[in-house]
Order: sequence, then structure tokens, then C-alpha cells
Amino acid sequence: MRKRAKIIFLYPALISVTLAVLFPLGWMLSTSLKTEPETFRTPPTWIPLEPTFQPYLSIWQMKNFARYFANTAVVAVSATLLSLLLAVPASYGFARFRFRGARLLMSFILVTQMLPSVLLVIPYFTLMRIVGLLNTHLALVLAYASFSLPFSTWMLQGFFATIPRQLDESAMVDGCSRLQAILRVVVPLAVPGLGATSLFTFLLAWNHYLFALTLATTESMYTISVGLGAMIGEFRIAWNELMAAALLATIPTLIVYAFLERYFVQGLMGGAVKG
Amino acid sequence: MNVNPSSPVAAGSQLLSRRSWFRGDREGYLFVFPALLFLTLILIFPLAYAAFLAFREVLPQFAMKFVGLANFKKALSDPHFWGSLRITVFFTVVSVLLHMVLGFVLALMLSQHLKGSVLFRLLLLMPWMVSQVVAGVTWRWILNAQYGAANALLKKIGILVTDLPWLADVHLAMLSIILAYAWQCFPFVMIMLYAGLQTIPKEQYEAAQIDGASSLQVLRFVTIPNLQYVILVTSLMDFIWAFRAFDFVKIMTDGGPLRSTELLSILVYRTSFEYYQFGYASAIALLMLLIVLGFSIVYTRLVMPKG
Repeated sequence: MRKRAKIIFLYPALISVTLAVLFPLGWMLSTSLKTEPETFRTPPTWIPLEPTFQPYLSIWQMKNFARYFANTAVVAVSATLLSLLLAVPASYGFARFRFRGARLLMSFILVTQMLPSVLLVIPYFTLMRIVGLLNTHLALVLAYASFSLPFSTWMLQGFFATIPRQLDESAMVDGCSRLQAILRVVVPLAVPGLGATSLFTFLLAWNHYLFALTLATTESMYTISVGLGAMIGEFRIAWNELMAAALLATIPTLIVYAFLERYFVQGLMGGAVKG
Repeated sequence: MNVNPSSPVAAGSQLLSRRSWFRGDREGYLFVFPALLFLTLILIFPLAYAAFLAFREVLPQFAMKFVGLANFKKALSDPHFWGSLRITVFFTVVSVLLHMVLGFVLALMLSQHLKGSVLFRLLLLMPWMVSQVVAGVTWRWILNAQYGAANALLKKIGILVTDLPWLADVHLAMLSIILAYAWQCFPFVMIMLYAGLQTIPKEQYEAAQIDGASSLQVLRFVTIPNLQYVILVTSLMDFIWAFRAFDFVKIMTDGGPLRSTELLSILVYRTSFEYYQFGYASAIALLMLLIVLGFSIVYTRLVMPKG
């Protein structure tokens, strides 16, 4: 009886909330398939009268979105790899060794997470100017890797802690070096954790705006976020093209998300939530 | 290793193994070092430089003049700073509360073992995958006074008679950015709390049921106490993020109209990249950091469960 009541109440509630949450995405899709005059109809049409792919073609061909896309992909993938490269050893170190000051160092790492990026962007901008990295991919890769490193280290550390220490010890007794033991025994077992941290870094780097906005001084270095922001600043906003660009910007994150979502929930349960 | 610990051989081997562990433990520094060095170079060094700038006036051609505490004094007597702080606190508090309530209710609903709840979870998390810039442009279009979907929808249902100027009105603009931010951020809270709910042992629920507890009592005495830690961590993270929110506000209102949505982060950005007062901007940003740090410390000390 109780169960039935639950179902009768829960499904409609969940379905309506989900529809409301998905509405902006649907509106984005609908607008992106409209001709420009149709975007200015009142009342608006919910489904395009004459669906067209023209907005997608024009942002790809007339505007420089192919370039922005490539810039963003290079930056996001590199930042993810760099962050993993640093987070794996660090979190292994924290999970496996009880060295003096470990707690203090971990808190130090976590506190860096609190620095507001609007505080860092001014000195980072001037520093990159001095070292001549202004307007390069590298400047963004370094910044984004550093933003995700604290959370990644924290989450992975929780993961490594759940893998019995005896496993890497016995691998080492069998003649593996520490590094081999990590790569062959520990890392394969921590795949969910690696998936979760990769998703986190990739999303962060793909979506970030402020640093890309200030560090890219020429249009050829724009990331998608900066390209979208620039379209908002134009005198006349072509909403169908803007929504097409917004949707294209979102697709890669949705694909990565679809692959890594289950790892992310597992990762939160294994690492972050238990603390 | 079931050797009698009192035997000298065992004591010796124990000592030996402890010593080798000790040596092994120092190896930990080696693993942690690269990440620490990297964070120091990329984050702490700029932070120190920001502190350096906060005590200086940056002149054209990047010449600097030491001005002592002048930038901080200026901030504390600047009505724009206080206005911005008030707006930021309001935005942050309302946002965090909204995210927590929405996230908690949905996390509870998702963990009822319904058929298809995995699909709901997947769909409800989608806004979090969307960047703040994309969320910003999309909501700006939805809330467009003349052609937007929000007014059209609300008129159709009969809630509104005339169009509302969502982003052009001083009060509605704040509501709009809170709404857009909630759409983008509640999934994070939801998934954290959902993950937390999964770790609560089933036995506790069963025991409560046997004792005849009502749903509300179960919530009060089983669910919430078990979730305490997750709730605190999640709300703290959400607070830190909301306090520094920038991207979607820049896109949706750029601080307007009449500075009504000029969060501290927007104020810092404009001070540095529109007025080129890098020293003054650094001082405000540093004050922001102090506020967040102070709040976090007080919050964890006061509310965190002991141990």
C-alpha cells in the first residue's frame, strides 16, 4: 500500500521536475534549428516551422567556431592529462605513506581550491606576459590543471586508500619496482577514480571562461566559451546561431559525461563523500 | 604473522619492519613533491604577486608605486565595494539554500529504488555538464523580454498578463541570475547527497521501520544524522563557488542593470580589465579571499562534527 502511494506520487513529481530541468536544453535545440526571422515571432513557435541547419553551417563556416572548437579540445585534453600525471603520484603518496606533515600538505592542497579565480587572473595575466606565454594554449593548460589538481588528488586519494596495501607490496615482493606496481596493479584497480577525476578536469577546462577570456588576446586563440561570450557582445545577436554554437559547445561534454557518469558517482562515494 | 610478540626474534623483526616502513614512508615526499611544486608555481606564486600588487598602484607601462594600505582603505570607504559585498552575500546565501533544498529533495526521490531512476539521475545531472557560459546565453535568451520562452510560457499558463523585463529590472535581474545558477548547480548538490545516501547502512532503516518510525522520523533520526558530513562539505563547497560566481553573470547581465547584479567578482574584473586599476582590484579580490577563508574556518569549527 505504502509502496503504491510512493509510486503514484513519485513518478509524476520526478517526471515534471525532469521536464522542467530539460526545458532550457530543448529550447536551445529548437531555436538552433530556426531561421532568423522565426526566432523573432511572437508568440514563439515551440517547434521550428521550417527546420534548417543553416545556423550550424554559418557558425562553422562564416564564423570561426571550428577554430575555437579545436583550441578548446587541445586545452581540455592536455589539462586532463597533465592533471592526472600529477594527481596520481600525489594521491598515491598520501594514501600509502605516513610521512611527517602529510596532513598539513593535504590541507595546503585543499586550501588552494579556495582561491577565487578572479583574484588569480590578474597576477597570472601579468606573469604570463612576462614569461611570454600570453595568448598560448600552454598558459591555459597550466592554469586549468592547477585548478583541478586539488579536487583530483583528494578524490583519488580516497580511492587508493580502499585498495589493499598488500597488493602493491606483494607485487614488489614478486620483483616489480614501485613504479611498476603502481602502473600494473594499483592504477588498473582505480579506473573508476581515474574516470571520475578525468571527467572533472575535462569539464572544468572545457567550460572555463574567465582565464580564456583574459589570456587570449587574439581571436584565433579563442575557446568556445570566449567565442560565445563575444557573440553576446555583438550589436545584433543572431539567437539561432548563438543557440547552435551553445549546443555544439555542450555536445562533447555530454559525450564524455555519458561514458564517465557511473565512475563519477562511484568516485564520489569512494573518495569524496567518505572524506 | 602470528609470531608471539614477546619473543626476541619477533621483536627484532618488528623493529626491522617498522624501520623499513619508516624509510618507505619518507618516500611519500617524492610522490607528493611534483604536485606541490606545480601548485606553488601556478597558484601560490600568483597569489603572492596579487598580494604584492594590492599594496601598489599600477601606473601606465606597468610601472609600480608602493601605496601601503591605501587600496584597502579605498575599498572600505567605497560604496560600490559595500554594495557589491551585500549583493554577493545575498546571492550566495539564497543560492546555497535553494541548491541544498532542491538537491536534497531530488536526491531522496532518486534513492527510492524506482524503476528508471538511473535514467532520471542521468537526465537531471545534465545541466551540470553545461558550461556557465552556455547556461548564461541560454537563460538570457529564455528570459528575453520580447521574444523569450519564459514570458510566453507564463502567459500561456495564465500566470502573467504582460511581459516581464527579467534582465532589465533591478529586482528581477537578481532573481534571474539566482534562477539560472540554481538550474546549473543543483545537480552537483543532488549527486553529492545521493552518493551520501547510498552509503547509509540498510540495517538502520530496517531497525527504524521495526520500531514503527514514521517517514518523517526516519528522515530526522536516520537520514540526516548520517548525511551530516556530506551536507556540511557540500554546502561549504557550494558556498565557496557561489561567492566567486562570475561566468554566467558576466554573460547574462554583466553586473547590470544599475549595478544590481554586480557581484564582487564582476567588480574586480571591471576594476582591473576596464579601468586598469590592477592594484585596487587585487586588494578587493584579496578581501574576497579573506572573507571566504574566514567563513570556511568558522563554519568548519562551529558546525563540523568532532573528529
